[in-house]
Amino acid sequence: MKNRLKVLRAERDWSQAELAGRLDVSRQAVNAIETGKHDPSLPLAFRIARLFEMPIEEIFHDES
Amino acid sequence: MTNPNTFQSEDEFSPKRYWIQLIIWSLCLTIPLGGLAVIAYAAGYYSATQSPTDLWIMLIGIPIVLISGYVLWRTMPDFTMGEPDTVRGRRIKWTTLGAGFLGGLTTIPLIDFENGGTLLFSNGSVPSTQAMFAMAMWAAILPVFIIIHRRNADEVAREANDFGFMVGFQSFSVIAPVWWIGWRGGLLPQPDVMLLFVTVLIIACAAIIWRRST
Repeated sequence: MKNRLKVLRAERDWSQAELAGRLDVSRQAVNAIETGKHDPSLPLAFRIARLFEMPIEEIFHDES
Repeated sequence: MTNPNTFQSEDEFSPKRYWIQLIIWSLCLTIPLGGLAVIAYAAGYYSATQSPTDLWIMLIGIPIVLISGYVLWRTMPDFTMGEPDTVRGRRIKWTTLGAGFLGGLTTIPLIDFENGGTLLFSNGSVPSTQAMFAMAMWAAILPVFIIIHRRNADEVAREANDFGFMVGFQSFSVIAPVWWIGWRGGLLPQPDVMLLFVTVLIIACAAIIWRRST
């Protein structure tokens, strides 16, 4: 699954650690999601969507 | 605000760079620590023999320890690995440290220092009070740390742990019966529970580290 997390983070000038702190996850988790190594669970995807005030489908895209 | 088009070039946290820095720093740490040990020995000999050589060793050693200690203090790596300071992260850090400390504390009474520390892995008998202490640590306190750690780990860490322990258990399900049958067939020495445990633990930890780094 692809996502726009890195771009959205850049638009807000947040570091990975800063975003991790806001989502209450580790920086490694943010990095894993950004690089597509980990697909977030639904609860975390909703937390991300709420933080960026966007629908989930505008942040995450199904590659198929 | 950072331009998303130029964001690719931002210098982000690099685990490889971090570990190289940490390893070099740890190796350099041996200079002041080793220096302190040499000074302490020299001071001991000097108080006993009044030898000028020991005095010179102390006079040269003290500034080396002070200067190298100051440089290392100023160049200390970021032990947080770039992680944010959160309540959840602090709980994980303290439970990890606590589990490591308790694990070490449990083994100390089992080590026979007078005979080269062979008692720990010897399978020999240990005094019942020491055995009870070790059993209480492993059976009662360590599980509490494990539960706290598990509840505070985020989903990426939890997934890596699940993968690591799955690999560990699958290794166990191969190694243990093969060793046992091999022993019964006279091909291998008698299975050793502690050796099996340590082997499986190393395999599980290696799998967790691999999963988290890929």
